[in-house]
Amino acid sequence: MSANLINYSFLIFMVSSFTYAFNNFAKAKRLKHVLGYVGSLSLLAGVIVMTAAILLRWQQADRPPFSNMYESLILFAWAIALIYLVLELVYGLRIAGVFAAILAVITIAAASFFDDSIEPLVPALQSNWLLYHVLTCFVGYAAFAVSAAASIVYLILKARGRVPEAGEPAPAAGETDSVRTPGELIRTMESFNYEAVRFGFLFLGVGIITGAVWANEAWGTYWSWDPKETWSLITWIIYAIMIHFKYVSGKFGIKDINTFNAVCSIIGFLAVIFTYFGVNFLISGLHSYA
Amino acid sequence: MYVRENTIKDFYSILQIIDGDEVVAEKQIEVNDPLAYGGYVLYQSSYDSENLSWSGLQVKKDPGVTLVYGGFLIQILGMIIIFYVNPLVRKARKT
Repeated sequence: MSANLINYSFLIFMVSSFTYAFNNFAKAKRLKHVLGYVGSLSLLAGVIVMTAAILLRWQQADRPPFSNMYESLILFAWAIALIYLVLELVYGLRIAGVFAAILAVITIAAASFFDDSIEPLVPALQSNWLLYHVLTCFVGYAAFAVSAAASIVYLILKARGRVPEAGEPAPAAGETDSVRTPGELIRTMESFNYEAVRFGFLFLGVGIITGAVWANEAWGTYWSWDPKETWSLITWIIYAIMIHFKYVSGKFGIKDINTFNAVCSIIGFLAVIFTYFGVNFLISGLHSYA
Repeated sequence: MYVRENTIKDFYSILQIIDGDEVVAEKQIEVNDPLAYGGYVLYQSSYDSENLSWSGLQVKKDPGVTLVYGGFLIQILGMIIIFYVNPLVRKARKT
């Protein structure tokens, strides 16, 4: 039942990635409006179906379903879609939706390569901290994923010469959002990106800290330089650099802080992916179960 | 739900701390549930699958943990204040 719901949400997310993609290229105002709404609503529907699937699995397993690769990938996809939707609502910006939805689709597809049977937790994971630690970490990862999606869009627009220089008058309306001038759109994208990273930074920070507290309860040490701990710290520091450079970029001779942010966010997301997958498959450590 | 072979569901030890002739503390400890007594914490760290009368324990004394936890708290509060409270304050001052 739960697996069926996941399949449905996969299909729904596919639909929303296509509609978001068409939305970005549509020129007619009315068509753009309709496509935008279909994209957002289908993404919302997918999130609702996934929520039901996760809750069902939670009930069947009688524990938070966040314990192995399959379960964490499902959680990841869910969090990406949800956080993207919230940011879309706050900023009224649909342009990054296509990549956010595609990331969610890829994540669910990746989950299908892993064993989806429900297994009892190993003793180390039998704790309430499982819920807090995994949830905060994955909310952080997902916010970074959304930010990376927005950064890709930003860099594409930049490469196509659609990003106006600061102070320069915005070029005539192109195929961007109909209500905004391209200049406004870009400014909104920049704050969208920065805000997503700050949110993710806070949550990854809390995730690392809950992990430390849990480790202290379970193993008697709050930090043991386990590969996953180390890599999550590296990831966190990359985003810390990005956040701090908003204020000190001038001293380092960086003129285009927004492009710097976009590149930083993509590098950071690669670090997230390594923290999440690379460490599990390449290096063994305390986090071998997920 | 099925249980794969050779996986362990739980392992625990029942500890008694005896001071003089008195039992001053008694607890069943397991991986996520250690026993704290007099500044020391006793953890269930391993077990011997061939001889269950052996149990691996870890004893730790770390008075700095409170300080570290304090740092965690300050850090989380700091992030929330800088990211979300400060902009609100600034906005309120402007109007």
